[in-house]
Amino acid sequence: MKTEIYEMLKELHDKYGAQEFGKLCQKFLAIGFRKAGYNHIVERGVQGVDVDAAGEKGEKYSIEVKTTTAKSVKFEEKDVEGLQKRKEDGYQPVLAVLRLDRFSNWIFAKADKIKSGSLLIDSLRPYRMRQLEGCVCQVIDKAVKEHFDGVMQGAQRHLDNILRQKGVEVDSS
Amino acid sequence: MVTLRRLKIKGFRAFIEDKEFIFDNPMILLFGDNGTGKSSILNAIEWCLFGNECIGAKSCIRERIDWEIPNRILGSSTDIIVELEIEDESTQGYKILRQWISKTKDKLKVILPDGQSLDAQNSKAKLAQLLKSSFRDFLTTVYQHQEVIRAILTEEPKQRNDAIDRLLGLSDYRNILTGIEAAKLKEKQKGMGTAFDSFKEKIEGALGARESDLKDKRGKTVKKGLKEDQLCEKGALEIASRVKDQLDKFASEAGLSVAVLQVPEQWTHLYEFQEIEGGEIKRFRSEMPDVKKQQDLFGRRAKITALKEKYEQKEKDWNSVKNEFDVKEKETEKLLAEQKEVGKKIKEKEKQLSEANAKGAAIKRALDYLRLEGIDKNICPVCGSKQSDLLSNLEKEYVERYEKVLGKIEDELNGLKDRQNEIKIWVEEYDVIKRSFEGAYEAMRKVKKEIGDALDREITAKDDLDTILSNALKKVNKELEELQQAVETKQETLDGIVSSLEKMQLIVDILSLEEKKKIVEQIQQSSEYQQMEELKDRMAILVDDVEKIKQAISESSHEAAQEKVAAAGAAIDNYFRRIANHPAVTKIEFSVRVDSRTARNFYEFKDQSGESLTPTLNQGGLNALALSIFLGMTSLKGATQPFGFVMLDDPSQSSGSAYKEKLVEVLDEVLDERMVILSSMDKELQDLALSKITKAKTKYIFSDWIPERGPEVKKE
Repeated sequence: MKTEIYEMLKELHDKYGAQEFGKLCQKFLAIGFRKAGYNHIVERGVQGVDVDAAGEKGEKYSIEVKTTTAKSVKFEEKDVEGLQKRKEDGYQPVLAVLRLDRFSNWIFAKADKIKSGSLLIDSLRPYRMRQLEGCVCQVIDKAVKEHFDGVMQGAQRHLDNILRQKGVEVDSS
Repeated sequence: MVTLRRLKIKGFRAFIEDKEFIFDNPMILLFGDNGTGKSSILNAIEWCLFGNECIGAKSCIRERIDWEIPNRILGSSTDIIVELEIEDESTQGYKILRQWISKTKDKLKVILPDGQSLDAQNSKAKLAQLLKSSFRDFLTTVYQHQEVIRAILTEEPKQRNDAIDRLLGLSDYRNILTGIEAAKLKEKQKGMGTAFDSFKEKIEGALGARESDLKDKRGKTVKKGLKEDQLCEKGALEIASRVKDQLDKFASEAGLSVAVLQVPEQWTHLYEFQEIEGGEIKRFRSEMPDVKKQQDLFGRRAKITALKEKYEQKEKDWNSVKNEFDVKEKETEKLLAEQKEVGKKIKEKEKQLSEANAKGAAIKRALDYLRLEGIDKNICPVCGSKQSDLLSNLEKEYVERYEKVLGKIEDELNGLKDRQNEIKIWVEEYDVIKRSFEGAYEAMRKVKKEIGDALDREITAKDDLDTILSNALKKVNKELEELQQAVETKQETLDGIVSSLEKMQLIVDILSLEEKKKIVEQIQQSSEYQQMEELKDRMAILVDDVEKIKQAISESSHEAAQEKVAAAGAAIDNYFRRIANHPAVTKIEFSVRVDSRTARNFYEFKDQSGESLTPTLNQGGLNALALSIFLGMTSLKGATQPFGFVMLDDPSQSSGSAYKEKLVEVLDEVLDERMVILSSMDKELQDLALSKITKAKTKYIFSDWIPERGPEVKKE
């Protein structure tokens, strides 16, 4: 991640706190997928797996998003179950992790290979989806840069509007 | 399974002459007394198969530490060769020849069924392929070496489990697990991660320092009135251009020369620009004509002030000395006249005193004479005239006329001398004052000359120097006042240029820090960094895969162990109860579980009550258990062992008749699955073997060993 993006994210984290920051990142990720050409995206603010993304070529990902400033994340049993349900619907379960660190990038890992518990981010390496990361990470960074000022003003609501404008289904009920 | 056909030995340990042993029956008996070469036959088979691995400390057998291969009589004078013919599962025959070269070296040759001969690495590879087993495996599964088998029960759990794995033919699993652990992949991965993190921390530290400096500098830009859009190369260059114009104009107006300097095209050259222009400003500050003049005037003012102070001081000194001198001078004139008079009077008085003294002295001497004993006191010692009461009259006269007069003259004289002395002191003091007066006069003269020089005019006695100096000071001050205004204006102009330079410098510093930050960022974006990241991924995948493999091996090993334990358990239980005939042990439970910590097989032997067996057994019991495990494993059907034979060396040591009988019974059962080579000096065991073993036997009798020939060996 470029320092510029890191600094923006850090500013958002400092302003809104860890929980709200996680939600914002989830929405940035959804925008990123949209920008990367995935035409059917569902972003869930409340219940269920965080983001579903389906592309024209038939690729379907169901993504649980985790953000942290530490070296590990909690991958809970309910997350595993949620992803499992989506897998039954034909979605590849993905665990997307962002460590808010100058040298970190988004990590996308095949979640059906990962057991629940406290996971060291480094332990996700064997399950990384490098190709997906290559397609999506840069556009997520672009989304952060593009919408940073708006988010600093309008927080989640701003990104929800953007998502809706881009045709993303936002489930915040 | 590999079985034995024939053994030929030459010069090996106890043997000098060539000997040949044919293994043509399932039971091979090597009988003979101690020291007749029986064990050398078993050793020869072992050495031929494993070479130097079975020699020395690495063999883990104490007696092997100084083991000698060549026969002592022959030494290395002749070839020491062991030749072993073996047969594989498909009854194909192979000939293995091992020749001793030195303590650390031997030569191996394998002759294949088709007659092809393999040497060096090829022979070793072929042999390993045939044996599928290590020397350690051989020791615990084929060659019942008492020391090694006992270790199965008495060694640390790790070694014990290791040995039982070997007995069960599970060495491969265990060796792979050991190999995986020895690779220390996780530690390496951790080390890699630590090194990577440390590298990242260094970069983060560097970035953090740059950012802190940047924050500091950006804070200063606000204070200096710089705008955000000026914090760029263009902003810095524009300021530089302004600075140059201002300096050129200033130099021109002040009549100063200025360095010929171009405004750089890139901000990176502004450091040099700043240094040169900063130097020029410093020079202008000191070389401006007004400043020079101002400095001269400051010097002049300081000099006049100093002269004025000096003059005032000298004048004060002069006035003070002059008054005193004037007073003293008049008095001194009078005193010098008095001094002359006093001198005369002193001379007169001294004359009077001299005369009086002379007459008095004569009377005194006459008195002294008259006072002598026997002298007529009435006759004058001078004129010889006789006078009555001459002595008393003379004494009276001396006191009244001379002593009184003399005292008076002396008093007067002393008074005159005191006065003369007073005058002398006065005159001396006058001389001192006179010299001071003359000094003060000279000082005044000099200071007046200095003033004259400083003011560039002649000073006369008529001049009022106080006023002259005060006027001169006033004039200098006025000039300075006029100059100050001009200099301040110019310095302010230069201050303004300096301030611009500082702003430019601040922008340059910010640009430089941002540039450095970019360089650090570029590290993260570099292909090398990405390669490191990929390497970490690959390492993580490797570790994960290896962990999975390890888990799979552990599971397979455990499954196989369970299967074999189940298969051999009954035999071990059966053999132990029969051989040991232990009253307290009615059943042996041989079980295996997975050690959760090491993921390896963990074996346990328990009695009928579920208690661990080994702590309760005595020496004989442990021997029996060890032998039971060994034989129980050999009874396993199928290809669990690569060897189709077992070798027992004196298995009845310190055992009773019942034990031996049971052992022979058990061996008869083992012979169903394996060839047995039994070496024994025990007559009772020999008889039992010959009478109770129901399988075909070949017997070799060893006797009459002498060093020069070796043993007599007879086949029966």
